[in-house]
Amino acid sequence: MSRPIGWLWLVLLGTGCSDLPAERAERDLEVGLAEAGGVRFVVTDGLAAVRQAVPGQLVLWSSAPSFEMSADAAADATSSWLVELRNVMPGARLEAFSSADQPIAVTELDAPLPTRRLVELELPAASRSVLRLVPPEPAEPGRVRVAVLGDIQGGIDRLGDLLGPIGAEPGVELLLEMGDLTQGGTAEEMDRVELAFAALPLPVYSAIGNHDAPADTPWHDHFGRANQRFVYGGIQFTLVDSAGATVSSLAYDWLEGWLDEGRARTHVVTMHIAPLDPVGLRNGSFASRAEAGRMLELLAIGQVDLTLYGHIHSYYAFENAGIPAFISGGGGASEERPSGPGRHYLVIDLDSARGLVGTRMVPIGD
Amino acid sequence: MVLARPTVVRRQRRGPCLSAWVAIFGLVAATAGAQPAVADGPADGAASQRSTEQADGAQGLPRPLAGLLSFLPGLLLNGSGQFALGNRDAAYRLLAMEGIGSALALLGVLPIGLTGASRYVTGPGAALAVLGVSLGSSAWLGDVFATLVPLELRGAPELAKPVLEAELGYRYVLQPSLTYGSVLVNRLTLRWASWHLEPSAWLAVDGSNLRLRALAGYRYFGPRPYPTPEARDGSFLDLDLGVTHHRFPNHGFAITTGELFPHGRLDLSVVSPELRGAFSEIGLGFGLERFDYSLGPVRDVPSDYSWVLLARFGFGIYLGGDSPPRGELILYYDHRHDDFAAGISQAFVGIAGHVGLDGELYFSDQLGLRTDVQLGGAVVAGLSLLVRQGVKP
Repeated sequence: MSRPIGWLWLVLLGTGCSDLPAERAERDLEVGLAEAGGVRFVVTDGLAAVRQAVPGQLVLWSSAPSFEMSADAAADATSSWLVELRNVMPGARLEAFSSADQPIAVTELDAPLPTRRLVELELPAASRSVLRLVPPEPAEPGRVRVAVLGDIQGGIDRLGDLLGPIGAEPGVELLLEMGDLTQGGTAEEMDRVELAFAALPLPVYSAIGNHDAPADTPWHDHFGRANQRFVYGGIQFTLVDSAGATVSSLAYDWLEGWLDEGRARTHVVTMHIAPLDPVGLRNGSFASRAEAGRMLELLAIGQVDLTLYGHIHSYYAFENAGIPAFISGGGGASEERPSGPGRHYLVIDLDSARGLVGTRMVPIGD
Repeated sequence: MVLARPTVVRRQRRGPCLSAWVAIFGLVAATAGAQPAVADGPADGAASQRSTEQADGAQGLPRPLAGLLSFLPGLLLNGSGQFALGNRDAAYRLLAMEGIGSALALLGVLPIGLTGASRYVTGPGAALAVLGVSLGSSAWLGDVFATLVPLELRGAPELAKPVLEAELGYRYVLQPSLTYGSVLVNRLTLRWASWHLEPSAWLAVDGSNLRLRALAGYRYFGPRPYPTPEARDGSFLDLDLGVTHHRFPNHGFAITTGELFPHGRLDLSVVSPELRGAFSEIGLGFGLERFDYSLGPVRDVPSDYSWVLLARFGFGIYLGGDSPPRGELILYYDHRHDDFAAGISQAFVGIAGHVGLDGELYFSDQLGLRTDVQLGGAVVAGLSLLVRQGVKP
């Protein structure tokens, strides 16, 4: 960067124009790291957020149906651990292995919710252990049914109206949230929405929305990475942080790799703000049309099967770069009137070989 | 500082002053009891002179103190600076501009808020809001300028345009997600009577992208090239048709935009002689974009189409007088999302466009410099050499 441009950039930073998407991407790299009781825990790819790590106790928020975590114990490390896993699929189990790949006994305790696991285990000293969260197989092999909800914002208190029917939907195995879980992105709101999600018998994986992403957002401590991907039932789900109406260059680097991984799979990409708003004059989309073009070109090259967005408080079904696309923002935020369906959620059927096989929009009356 | 050009009183033919212009700015003048905002008519030089004399003899606060008042409470109560100077007529007109601007902005924003940004009202609402903010910001900045800068130090508009104007320049484009870097800028403007043609090209030095653009436009009134008689002031109204093709050879996509963009300038001396030397600009239009993806053997990807709202407003001042050095400086907001600066991300979540400061100064009849700084999703900054011919017969 040349000196004048560098100075200009410094001036912009000084006036509050810091690059928040880049900062959030940098913070992604810190998710899933903790040290307590002489044990260093590292969640591979940051697919779980460490909620609490004290000697003998570890609490994780899982942001994927499965993940792996290494635990490097010092010679004098605490050996007995109580591990609490939150936001896991009912029927998921935690497996543990020693450095010699020998199973470590895991004692499962009663958990208060179907989406929690509480286990006790002994970590051998002076060695590395590996812990794996293993999800149950999909009810129908190769088929996954997901619910989609977006833009709760100030509607947390009415969230039960939506979560009740979603929880009762037959065959739904996970809920994808399109971002804007909160109105102001505060820790208190994130606690409240997590409490509401506790009523669901299935885990929630959420993109980060612009309302969730003020400077110093507690998102990473609560819900983990803002950019991530996971695979379940042979289907890849990639969540991208577009909360700033742009995507950071670091996230683009990750995305290109994840698109390569997902090319051979059915691949669903979600982000809060869509690259292009179907109503272009409104521009509830990326700030730059050129960047929108770049993103859609990447998704097309990656042969993505489905794109899911939020941000616009309504329901739209369209295509971008030939990829089926849905905007679902009916989670309780002020609704687009008079044309929108109001509060609603989507039920989407995915096939690991055939991609998108069915969608249904379910309106919820006020 | 160059002395201002004396008021020019010239009679010229009345141009096709269309209702669009009058609807925007005539409303302001009519409400404030000003002279009609018709640019191509006989100038009321006597009235202007009388007003200037009144200003000079007005009993008001000292200019520095009035200048402070133009900021506060002037930001909320436009015209405060002129009121403090004793120029009450100008103050009331600025206040009327603010009132109309605020009303239009509210009319635009309220339906958007009440309908949750409905697909049917957001475009027109945003256009109204832009118009309102344009009037309000011009009223405030006009007050600040006219209060701080004495009449004799203000610049004057160019009342005739050159037949040919060429620009060759450099811009650095800093965008975190798209590596634009160094860009060469070429532009040529050809004018013939009321018509103009403006091809331009922005070419990344590393070949990573190329933005070609062609505008064809008609000027309904305002400064035009010889032999058209000189305009009475700097006001103009243009209708531009444009095509832009932005190609990214390093990637596999290109964006082509067709657009219709009526835009114009109001010389603020039309609102009040006390505001001489300043101007306000506004343009409202729309474009249709086509996104083409060339992924080679990967797969055949259909094009995407998207409308884009075009809106631009600004406040500017003339620099210099009748002879070089002379030019102008404008602070503007541009709602475009398809150029290099594009929209401001993060805080405005992609809805707002970008702001910029554009200045040009001719050191002779033929040669000048232009500098341009834009702050949006990207930062654009650079300098151009300007060359022109056909300024005077």
